[in-house]
Amino acid sequence: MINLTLDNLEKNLKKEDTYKSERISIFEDFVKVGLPSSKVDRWKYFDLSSKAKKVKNTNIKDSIISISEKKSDKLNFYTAQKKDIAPDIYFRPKEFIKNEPMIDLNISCSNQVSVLDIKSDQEEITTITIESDGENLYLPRILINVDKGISAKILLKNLSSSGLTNLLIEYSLEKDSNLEIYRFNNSESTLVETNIVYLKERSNLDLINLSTPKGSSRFQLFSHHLGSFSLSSCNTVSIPSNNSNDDILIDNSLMSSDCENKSGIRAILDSKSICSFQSLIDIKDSVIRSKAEQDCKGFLLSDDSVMNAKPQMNIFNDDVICKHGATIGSLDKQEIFYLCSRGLNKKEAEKLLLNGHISEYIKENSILRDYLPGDFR
Amino acid sequence: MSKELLNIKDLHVDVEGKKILNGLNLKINMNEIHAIMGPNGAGKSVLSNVLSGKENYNVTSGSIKFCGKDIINLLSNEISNLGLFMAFQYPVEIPGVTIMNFLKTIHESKRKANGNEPFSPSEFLNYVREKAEILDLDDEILKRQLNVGFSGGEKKRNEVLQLLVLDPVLAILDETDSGLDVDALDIVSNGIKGMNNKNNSFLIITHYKKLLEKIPPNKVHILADGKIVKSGGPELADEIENKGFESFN
Repeated sequence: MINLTLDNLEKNLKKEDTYKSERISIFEDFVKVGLPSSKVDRWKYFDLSSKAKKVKNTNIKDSIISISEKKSDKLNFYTAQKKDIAPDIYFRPKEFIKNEPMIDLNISCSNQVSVLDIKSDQEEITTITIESDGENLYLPRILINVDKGISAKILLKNLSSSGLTNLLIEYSLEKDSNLEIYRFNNSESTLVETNIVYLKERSNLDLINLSTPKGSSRFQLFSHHLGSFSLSSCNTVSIPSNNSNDDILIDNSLMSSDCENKSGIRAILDSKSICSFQSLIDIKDSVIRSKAEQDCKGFLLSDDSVMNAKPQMNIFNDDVICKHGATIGSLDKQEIFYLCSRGLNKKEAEKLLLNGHISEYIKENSILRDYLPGDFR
Repeated sequence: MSKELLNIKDLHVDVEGKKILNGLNLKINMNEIHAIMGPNGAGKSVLSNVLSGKENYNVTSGSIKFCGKDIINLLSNEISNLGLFMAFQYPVEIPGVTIMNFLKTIHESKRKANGNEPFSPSEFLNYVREKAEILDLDDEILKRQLNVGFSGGEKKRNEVLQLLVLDPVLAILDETDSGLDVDALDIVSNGIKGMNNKNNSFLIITHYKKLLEKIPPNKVHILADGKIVKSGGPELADEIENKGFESFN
């Protein structure tokens, strides 16, 4: 299957008794599918199986996870033992998501679970940084819980520099809570980051994702609108480096009525970079008055860059308002002419246009501005 | 004698192998207002695009001198920096770029090209507000994305705002009056008249007499089949209104 030997993973699995039989069963689910490869993987994503072959040390190591504010009356961040986490929480992803081998691998084999409980409103942004140290396998898991009626902001920086990181993050948003997430992905390694969101009544998730990978990166977001009037949005600016892959999957399940969801991407692709964007909206037949939008724009700055876009909507009820759009191509010549006719040279015009598209998601005062590649700051 | 600003001689232009301009001659001096009228497809917009340096227009013969320089081989930004401005017939939408930021960027670029220091932020804000006020535009519109979701009239007013901010020596108004209601036409024409002085000139491209009643031209030209077929005073616009273009073909 892969260079990551199953023996090593199994050995690790048996070291600890907590939830052992359940975890072995989930591990067997993982083994059946294996690491995603071009044969069995999602549409047009990079071949994770072949990337994993480069991982030299198949032992599982802990990622380096740091937080700007560790413990206060506002929030509590701690490393948890498996036994400290109730089984319904520990295995919750399996209840909602089937046949995702990377989730199965994490849940069965992870030795690193961190928990962040946010209990009162936050004015300041809390920064969580994830780093790796060497050509190893990393399986960190982070549980983030936002209490009822609480508003919080998180900057999540993924700076994994080597190895294969399979990160699982779960966000539980209680009733009337608001969470703003600013994600900055600057990983140089092979990265799979799976985000699972559980949204209760009137909760709101707003995720802005700036992804500038220098290796092969996959971001997956599974949003579950469990409560009515919940809102979620995920807008990505993808600027992968030369020869890098940036795969983005946004999968939204609207399971209650009166929910709203938006997802979009602005991808700027130069040299031989590749971005694949897949956005799914699933609206059940009993769910009414839903609103959903998908918006994809890809800008190809070179002949060798590639953008793949696949909007999908599974709608089983007529009482919805959904729209989607996807445009991929070079920058508009008429727009460039318009700007040049105002005195800007071609390079300045292109930069202004691209900056404009970035600004649709990363506003002028956003913390993510500081992390944009030099040309776009 | 007035200083010569634009001199087009025997201009022939092909677009995708089709002859559009066919021996066009036009001379505009400083402190003059000229109007070009003509039927659809006569080549009016091609002329304004060629003057603005748009690519993919094949100038097969003739010359264009602007401010004493041959501009046929100049890039669009180079022509702009010489002092030519075109108000577009169909201004494009630029998502994510606010009008204020855009105005600041192009104003700084122009000052830099002319060897001047940029305005300070407060100096520029006052400068833009003063221009916006002339066009009855409030601060809120300056925060909006450039032309995104604008009505036809708002787009045209925004074109004129850029014109006032850049203060060019020659402004080409390509059907700026189309899409404007009566009140907006008054505001826009007052704005244009207000900036008209001995150091600039205007070339107004229009189908209608209305704008020319508000901004009286020194000369009116009729463009048909790719060339100027008749030139005259403002009375020519009345003649077109009464007889149509057919009699000039």
